[in-house]
Amino acid sequence: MTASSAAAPALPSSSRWRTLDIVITAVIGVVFGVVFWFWDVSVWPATTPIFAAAPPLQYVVSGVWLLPAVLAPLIVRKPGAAIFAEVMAAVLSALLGGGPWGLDVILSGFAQGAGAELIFAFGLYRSFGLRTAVLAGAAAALGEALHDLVIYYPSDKFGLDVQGTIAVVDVVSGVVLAGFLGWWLLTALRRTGVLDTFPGGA
Amino acid sequence: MSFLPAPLLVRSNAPLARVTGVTRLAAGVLWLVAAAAIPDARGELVLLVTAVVVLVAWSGIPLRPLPRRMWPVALGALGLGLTAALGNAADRDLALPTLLALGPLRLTPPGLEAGLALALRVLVIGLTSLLVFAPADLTRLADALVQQLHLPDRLAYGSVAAMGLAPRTAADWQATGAARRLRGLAPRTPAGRLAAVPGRLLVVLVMALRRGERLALAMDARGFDSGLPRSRYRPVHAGPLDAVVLAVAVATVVLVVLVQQAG
Amino acid sequence: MTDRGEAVGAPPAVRAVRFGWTYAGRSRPALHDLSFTLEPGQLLLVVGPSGCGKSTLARALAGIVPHALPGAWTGALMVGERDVAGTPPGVLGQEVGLVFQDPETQLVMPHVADEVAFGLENRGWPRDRMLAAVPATLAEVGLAGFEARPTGALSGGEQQRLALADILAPLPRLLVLDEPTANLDPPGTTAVLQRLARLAARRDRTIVVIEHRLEALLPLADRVLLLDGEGGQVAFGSPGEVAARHGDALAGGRTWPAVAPPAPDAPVVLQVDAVSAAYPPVAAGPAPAAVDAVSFVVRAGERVALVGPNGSGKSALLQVVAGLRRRTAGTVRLVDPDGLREDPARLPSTALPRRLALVFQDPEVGFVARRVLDEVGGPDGLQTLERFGLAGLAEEDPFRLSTGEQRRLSLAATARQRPTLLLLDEPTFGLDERGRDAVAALLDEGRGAGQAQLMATHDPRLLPGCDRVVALRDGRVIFDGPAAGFLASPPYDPPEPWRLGGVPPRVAVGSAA
Ligand SMILES: Nc1ncnc2c1ncn2[C@@H]1O[C@H](COP(=O)(O)OP(=O)(O)OP(=O)(O)O)[C@@H](O)[C@H]1O
Ligand SMILES: Nc1ncnc2c1ncn2[C@@H]1O[C@H](COP(=O)(O)OP(=O)(O)OP(=O)(O)O)[C@@H](O)[C@H]1O
Ligand SMILES: [Mg+2]
Ligand SMILES: [Mg+2]
Repeated sequence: MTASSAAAPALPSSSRWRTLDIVITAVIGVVFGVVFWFWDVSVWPATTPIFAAAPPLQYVVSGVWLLPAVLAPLIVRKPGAAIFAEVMAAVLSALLGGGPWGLDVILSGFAQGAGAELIFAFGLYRSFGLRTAVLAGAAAALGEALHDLVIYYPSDKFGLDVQGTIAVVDVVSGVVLAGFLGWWLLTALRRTGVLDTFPGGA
Repeated sequence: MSFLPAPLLVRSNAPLARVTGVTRLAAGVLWLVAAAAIPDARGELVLLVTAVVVLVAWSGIPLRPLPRRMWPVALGALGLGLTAALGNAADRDLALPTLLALGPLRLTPPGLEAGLALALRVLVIGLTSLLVFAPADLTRLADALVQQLHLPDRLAYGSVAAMGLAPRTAADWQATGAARRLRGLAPRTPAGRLAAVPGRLLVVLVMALRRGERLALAMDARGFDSGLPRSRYRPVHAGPLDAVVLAVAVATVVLVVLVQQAG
Repeated sequence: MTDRGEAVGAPPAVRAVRFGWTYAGRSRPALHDLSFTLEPGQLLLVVGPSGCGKSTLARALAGIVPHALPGAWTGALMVGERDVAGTPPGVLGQEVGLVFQDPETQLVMPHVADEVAFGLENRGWPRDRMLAAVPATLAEVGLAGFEARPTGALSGGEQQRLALADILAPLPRLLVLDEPTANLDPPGTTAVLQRLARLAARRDRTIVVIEHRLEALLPLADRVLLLDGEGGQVAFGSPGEVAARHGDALAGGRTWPAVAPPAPDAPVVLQVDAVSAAYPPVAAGPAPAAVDAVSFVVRAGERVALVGPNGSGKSALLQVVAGLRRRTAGTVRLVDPDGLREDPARLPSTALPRRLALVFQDPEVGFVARRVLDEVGGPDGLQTLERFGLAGLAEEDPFRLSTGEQRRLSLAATARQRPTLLLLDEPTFGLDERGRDAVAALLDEGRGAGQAQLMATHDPRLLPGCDRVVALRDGRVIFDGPAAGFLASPPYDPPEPWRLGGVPPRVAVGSAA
């Protein structure tokens, strides 16, 4: 019964949320909430004049908003993680009273999280590779686009050209800035060892 | 609290601060739906005026720090309003009179109406969220969500605990920038600044995840995950005031609908 | 030492039988083959080098291991009549209270009273009992009247006391404290140790303490558990028995040896004049000054210690000097050998590395690379790592290193820069005796080469190794003079905790030089 056996014990896999999973998912939301707040009050207004000629193109940077919805499920691998993390980030940035979106940011957080959540659910919460990450980024972007087209770019006021541009630019940004960047963050985090106690850590 | 904004110091005996978080949320969501569903500027204006009256009379929110708080909202309203006004589908209809010409862009009456409506919509949403969240103590909000909406305890208070790490995260973000500067690695161009973001984000994430793990273990050590039913140190009760606030929210929406039909 | 508090017939408070634990994903056990018995009312002191599994044992006693963290369990660990592995943590939590190493990351709720009530709510206490227990417990730890304060606005010492209140409130029978004084200033440390002495004297609960400050705790201990670097048990017994056979391991902390003074005409390297700085306000009202009209100089080859209570502005001052935090008044000048005087906040980033470096209180925020070797950089990077005993880790991620290794890495990175001014924020924090010796050797080398060093520290044992002490209180300088003068009559009230070995209860155990 000595503990000298070399085989490393494996992590249990279950869909039960440990306190650790809850707090870590929320913390991911909080980190990005802080970053969003910073983004909302600096990068977004700063790029507004640059994109003034063609505002829908401003969506090229919007993928950053979707990172929690991609990263959190890749780490904790639990149903609901995408929505939880994204809504958390939205709540924090609303609490900080940052960007122009206010309370509505929570609604869009939900739409974005739900988009990504669908992809992980389709994989039955068993597929967590690069392809899933990229798809989740794209789906989160679709959720975001859907929300924004209803609330800010309604079809009674905008043509299909504007709406279509927004959707396409948004999805491309989601793929690159949420999908690939999220995957890069995951692999970099794994190397640091902080994810060792999570299913997504190895 | 490094570079995060200081919280607004809301008068705690103001009516809006005395209702439960769920009441404020419900009223806020109702307005949000109304604001999104209204097609024209007049309806939005009714909501905006009511929101301002509530802000001044009921909320206990100090007005002086507001301009510094709300400028992104104003900027967003302006941006979206202009986009809708000048990029409006109707602007290409040459049968409509031109109100203003800016190079290839022209402003038509329907464009003006659309721009005004969207700008007001953004203002209403921004103000509503201020009214919902500024009077909210995070703990009380979680209490209300748990006791009134039966959100799971572990989810609500786990989130409250995680929120407590926000100031540290902001400070870490600042410190990573400082560290790079000292090491001779400060980016000189905006593009370089952007390229440094993933690396800094990683450091901030590592530190936040470490703290989060310690926090979760501390919570478990204090019996958070015991499966026993938790008792309540801060019971939440909705009173007559909550009913009044909800009634006002509903009345405003009814008024908007009436204005709509009258016009 | 006599054994006290053994109630006849009662089961032992803690019993380990060849107990071991391996974290999931690790190939080596964190702990193995621990066998010991602790009687109710006794105080156990756990001693061992950094990374030997002390915190892991604390987690096991509270049931976090194995219930909240995955891994493999061997042998048996009993708390009272309960087998830890077979008891749900909620049930075990009724009997065990654990204070973690870092007080800040264990505070859950935004306000003090809610924080104390959190553990009681988890146990389902009725509200009227909580309403009585919360203020009573706060008063017990010296925080009466703090109920409505935000936890984020407490000083390090106050946070530590609040963490203690958290676990005292539910009246646990076993109290586990993991390095309860690590972040505290000397008066805060004294207060915690005195409180611990009082709790131990009551004998109504069993206490397990993990501490590096052995000289203060050995006189309170009934039992000592000594671990080796691999998580194995070296010895268990009364302090006398263990000291007799493993005296070295129980020797008190070494003080840094005195240094020869630098040449009196050494050139000034740093000149700070009437500098003030503020943090943004946390609550209503004007922001309190974090640094208030501070002036001093540091000369080449001089090591200056920056001391003061928690929150007195040491970290803020170092950041202002490094040009990382905006000052509201005054000037900071780096003087180069040609007499050119420059403001570090104005220097371009590329010019900074040779002029000054800052070793952060938390080394992780300073890391810029994904590989230990890249963190040091340069063609002779590997040699530098070699000198710091890190060559074997060259390919690792810097974040994977232990606290001690991370500290050495950040020192290695700055050493290669050879800055004329080195700023250090708590450079020995979290290190064991060996780690502290390594830091001392590295700093001596730089100082010998004429480097100026400014070092914030809470540890009086480092002061004999410094040329001068600058002491702060509320952001102001209240003393600037030789270290010997500071130690002879510390400018604080009361002065005792700030003296060498001034951590009561005072004892003469192992003050080896
Ligand atoms: N959550 C964890 N997952 C995996 N390994 C861990 C975890 N926590 C600690 N370890 C490892 O277990 C070993 C013992 O760590 P522990 O924190 O118990 O040491 P310690 O004696 O408390 O050290 P210190 O004096 O630095 O606090 C170390 O090798 C550490 O890396
Ligand atoms: N991020 C922050 N936001 C606001 N106030 C802060 C912040 N950090 C520190 N303070 C306050 O500024 C003052 C100086 O803090 P500083 O961290 O410089 O103290 P310190 O001497 O380094 O303390 P310690 O010994 O605990 O490290 C204190 O009153 C502290 O409460
Ligand atoms: Mg430890
Ligand atoms: Mg400090």
